Amino acid sequence: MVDGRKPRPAFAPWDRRALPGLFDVEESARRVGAYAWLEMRLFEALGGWIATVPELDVKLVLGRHCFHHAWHAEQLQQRLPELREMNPARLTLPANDGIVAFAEALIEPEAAEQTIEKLVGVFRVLLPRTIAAYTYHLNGTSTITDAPTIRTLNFLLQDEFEDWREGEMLLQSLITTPEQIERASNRAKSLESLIVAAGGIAGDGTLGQGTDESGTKSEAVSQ
Amino acid sequence: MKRFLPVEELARDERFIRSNIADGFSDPRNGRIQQRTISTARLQPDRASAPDRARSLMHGIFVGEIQALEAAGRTTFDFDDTDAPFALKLDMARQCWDESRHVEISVKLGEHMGTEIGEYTEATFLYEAACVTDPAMRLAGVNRALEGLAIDVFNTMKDFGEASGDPILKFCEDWMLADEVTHVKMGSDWLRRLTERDPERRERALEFQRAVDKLFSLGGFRGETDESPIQIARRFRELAGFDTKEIDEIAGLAADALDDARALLGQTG
Amino acid sequence: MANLLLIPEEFTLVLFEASRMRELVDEVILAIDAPSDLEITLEIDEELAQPMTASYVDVDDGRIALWYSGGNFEDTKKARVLDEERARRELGVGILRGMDRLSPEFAGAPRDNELSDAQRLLWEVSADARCVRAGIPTREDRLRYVYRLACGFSDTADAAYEKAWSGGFTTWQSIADAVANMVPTAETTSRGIRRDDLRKIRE
Ligand SMILES: [Fe+2]
Ligand SMILES: [Fe+2]
Repeated sequence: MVDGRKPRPAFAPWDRRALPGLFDVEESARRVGAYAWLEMRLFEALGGWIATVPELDVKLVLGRHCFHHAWHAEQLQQRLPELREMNPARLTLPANDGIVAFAEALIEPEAAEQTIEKLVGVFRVLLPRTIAAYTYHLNGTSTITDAPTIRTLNFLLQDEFEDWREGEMLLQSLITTPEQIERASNRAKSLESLIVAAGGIAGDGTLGQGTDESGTKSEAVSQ
Repeated sequence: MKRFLPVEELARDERFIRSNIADGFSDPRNGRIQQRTISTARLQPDRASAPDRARSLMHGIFVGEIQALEAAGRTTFDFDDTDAPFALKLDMARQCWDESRHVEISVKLGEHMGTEIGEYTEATFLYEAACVTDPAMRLAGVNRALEGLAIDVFNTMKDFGEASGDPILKFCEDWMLADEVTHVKMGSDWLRRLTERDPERRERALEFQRAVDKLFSLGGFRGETDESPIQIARRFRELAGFDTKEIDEIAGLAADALDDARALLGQTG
Repeated sequence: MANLLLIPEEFTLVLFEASRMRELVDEVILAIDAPSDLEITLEIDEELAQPMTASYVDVDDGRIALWYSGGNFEDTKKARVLDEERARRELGVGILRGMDRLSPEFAGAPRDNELSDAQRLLWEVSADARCVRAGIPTREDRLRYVYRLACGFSDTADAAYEKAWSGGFTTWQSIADAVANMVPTAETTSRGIRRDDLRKIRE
């Protein structure tokens, strides 16, 4: 019989979670707010595009993904009050003006002939960046203090990976001629330039290597 | 991408052909047929034309689902957060996913029933109701009037599946019916919330809903008598939050529309 | 070619050409290898539009009597316009069933309005299959659905369909017997979905 009165350590030997993390409360909240802002622009764009794409399979995938990203925004916003921001809308902000410019360029295509441009923006530029930023966040943040954000990001990442794969497959099936290859790469190039200029989806230091790496925002907590 | 996409710009592949409403009105057969007794208009499996009528209705449902998907999608994009709060857009995004599944189900059901994409023409009434620029009116017209109509249509199809012993049709329609009830509820909830302090705006939205309801009762298409192929699904409408008075009102509109159609055809026939 | 009486002589409500309709009858007769002196009355009710479709095939005084709703020949995308492919299939099935009625093997068959839906459809499937073999295309998915509505969504009904499709019914009595042995449609209503149907819906 197991003696429940015998003391055991709070952390089992296999539980390697630790206190140190790259972000304090404000920084984690700022990032989460920036993610939520971009997820919102994304689901709105996907929703708006449904009526503008003639390809039936793409239309249906956009409808599904539209909800995924709206749900992501909701999940992220639910984390904000726990990060000291009782009005989630106040922190649901673009990381900087560069991200606003990127989002505007992402949403811009409208014509029925521009399905490739629409999908490249989402699946070859934005989603890979989102996956990278969320991964950086969950790898860098304190696994004990910021565990709720990690849990949320893990749920989101599952969608992001699957949606990225589905979108990439659609693109591969749509891009079949030299002219289409050219269009896809031009589109990726112009959006890449914008998001690089913005420093990533969370602004400078999205992946910890921003120009402003002095440690003011990303101060590690030592044990 | 601009806000408010007009119906002419809905993107379709080459299989889709828009129906020409003028052609319908000028069809010389309309007046003649009104003078004949062709038993009940209800969708019943023992009627000679039942398979073709069911197939054509199924295709109508399919294009209707595409437009419902497009309409919900536009509502996530057309308004800024002050006109349509995030929670409303989240509901619309959820509806996008649901309608996307409904399109998928409709394609499969169409194959099951022996029709194919583009076999019949596409009328765009549904999306047109989603082109209004006031979100309260749009929610009333689309989510209360048209999603309400979807409840009636799916229930009629489910009954047809039941009566014809078609387990696949009955199974699928029941699932879609479950979703549509939630879409109508979204419409009712948001209409109330958006117009909480503006009774005039609410009245305008309800007026628009009545106009759309009347349009879809056109010629007795939907009603409670044997002359209507689509029957009003009272029980499911109650589940979706319509009260008896509202359902009676829709039944009244439907009866008026049938009388109007008779009068119109009497003149031209 | 065929001794054809077309009613109406000219179409006034739909945009069908009477001369084209006569040509189609001749084309079909040639395709199914029917006697060229076949006597046929073809009546098309042009007031009836898609999707109000219906048809009857009988024999009166040795003459095949075909009656159709105009909707049976109408293009589903263009109101009032003739869909030649549909027309060929409708005429092919009609004439083949009319020829069946002229043969001693179908002597006891009731008139079309006295047939049950199941008897009618099983007969029609057998004629449809003969049309396909004669090079007149049909929409088999559509036919199968119409058949199932009439005969039930059941394994027994499906087995009879396969038999009809492969030419297994050559007399009226064999059709009547097969229908008598089918599980009634009503018994299928509360049954769950069969595995093969689920597979089909997911494909
Ligand atoms: Fe739907
Ligand atoms: Fe719906």
